[in-house]
Amino acid sequence: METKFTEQQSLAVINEMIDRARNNIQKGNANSLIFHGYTVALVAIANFILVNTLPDELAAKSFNLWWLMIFSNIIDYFIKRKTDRSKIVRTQIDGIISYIWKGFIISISILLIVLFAMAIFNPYKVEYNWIFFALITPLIMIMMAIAEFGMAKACRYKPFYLGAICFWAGALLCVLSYIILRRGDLQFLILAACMIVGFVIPGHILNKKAKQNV
Amino acid sequence: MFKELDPLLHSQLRLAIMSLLISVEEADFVFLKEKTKATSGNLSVQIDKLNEAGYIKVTKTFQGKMPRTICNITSKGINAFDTYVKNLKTYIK
Repeated sequence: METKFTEQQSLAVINEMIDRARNNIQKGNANSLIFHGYTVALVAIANFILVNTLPDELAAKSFNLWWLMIFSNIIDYFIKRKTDRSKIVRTQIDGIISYIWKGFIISISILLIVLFAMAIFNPYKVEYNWIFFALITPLIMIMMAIAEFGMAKACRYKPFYLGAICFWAGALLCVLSYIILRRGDLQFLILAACMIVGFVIPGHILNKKAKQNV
Repeated sequence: MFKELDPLLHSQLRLAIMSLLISVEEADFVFLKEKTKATSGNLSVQIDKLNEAGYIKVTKTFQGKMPRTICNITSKGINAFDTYVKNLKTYIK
């Protein structure tokens, strides 16, 4: 049996339901973020160790570790697919966040092509070409900060704002470590720390919140 | 002047379903059940009514061996909801 209800009750139902749908955080929403946080941090730490332990001629080859990111993105694709399938609701915000990160991946790919092309094919002052490689980590961190800042606004989730600030600060620290300490290897440690503070910790908090939400 | 409220929407559960669907892209039956706290039978009946009116689109799929019902609001549903809210405001003023 349907019960008749007043206009005020009707408005209350609309407001309550819209609010419930908007504040919905689902379990597993942050899995992808946590996975990327750990993998990038681990690769960065491994790269730091290799650069400092291998002989000079081999140390340069340790950067090839970053090709592992291609595999991690493939694994992430399957994680996302599994999460999406089990999702009981898809909000407009999910779509926005997905587009932000797709844009981020395209931007990173273009940035790497540009920097490598400039470093390899630069016809002037070849001895200074290392600067293009030195810029890779800070520029990637700046882009991560932009993406996370957008995500923070879309989700209205404060730890993501802090994560974005952490990446911006990290990018500045990378440059300072170069200029003041004259060390490029510290970039990897800074990146690893930023991934943990900016991705892993907010991701775990979000998943914990989602568990309580269920 | 009071405007007539759409009788299809002026029901607590159907209005709750429409309000949830207006704020998301698509929602599973489980999600609607969780948020409206309705029984499966009642929810199913109201979803059918909204579907027949063309206010929502219902897609039935399988996740593994489990059947899955996904609902999303149609443009006709958005217009009906919009008109309902506008008419509702005339009662509140």
